[in-house]
Amino acid sequence: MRVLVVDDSRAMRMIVIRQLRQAGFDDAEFLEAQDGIEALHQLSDHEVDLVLSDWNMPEMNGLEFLRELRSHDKEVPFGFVTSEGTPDMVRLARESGASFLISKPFTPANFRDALDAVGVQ
Amino acid sequence: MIQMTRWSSALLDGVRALEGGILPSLVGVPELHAAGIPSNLPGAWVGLVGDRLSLQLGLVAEFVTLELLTANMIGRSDHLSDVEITDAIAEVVNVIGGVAKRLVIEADPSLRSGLPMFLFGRLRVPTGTASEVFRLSTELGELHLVSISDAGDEG
Repeated sequence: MRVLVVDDSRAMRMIVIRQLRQAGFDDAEFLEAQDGIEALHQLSDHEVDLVLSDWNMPEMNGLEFLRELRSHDKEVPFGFVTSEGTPDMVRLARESGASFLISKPFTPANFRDALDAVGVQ
Repeated sequence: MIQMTRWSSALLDGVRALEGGILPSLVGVPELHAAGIPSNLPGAWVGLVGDRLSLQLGLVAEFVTLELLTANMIGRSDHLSDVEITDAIAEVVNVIGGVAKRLVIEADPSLRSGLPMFLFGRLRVPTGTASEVFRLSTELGELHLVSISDAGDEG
């Protein structure tokens, strides 16, 4: 399984990857990107099974990234991992094609629950 | 019990949300710091701005304490660079701001988060604002948590 983790904070990317490993994804291969533009480049070079993205990022934010991805018929499961989490933003994420939104701070169980719900094993 | 504005209450709830999770050692009892914002301490800030509210939330401390916080957060303490430390502390404040935003969003549904920023020097506090400062003593060192809001906002 290959997972793309997108966050402008390197520290947060490290934490997301660590917690995914603790959630049982210790055999996964992780790719990283610091914004939506870099993430799109990664996706043009690699097939991935899951995208986890921050929302607020410079250059291209997570929502713009998701919309760009879906406009190219890429149906890879996509989840936001973000400090945002108001009801309006959860709705916007769903309407734009996200499978789930995990609010920071999070635990490995949050990842396990969200990924189980969308059938990512 | 400390009397505080709801902005500061949201700020402290944001800090509590990190305890034992992504920042295992961020444990302590906040105390009101009447002396105001400590001058010349580095730290990170995030803005929440809407049609009716404008808030700045910050975490400042001696740089060595921020370094220890970073090590505690990312699980690594060897040769942390300034970039790694500023990135991690800005993200801590970003997460605190996100929790705080969810707690005060009803007061201004248009509230939006800015990108966090790290300052090595003193923050210039705009006139017409009110600030509250809390001191948090942790096993990693002493931190100061700050909320700055427009003085006219109902807290």
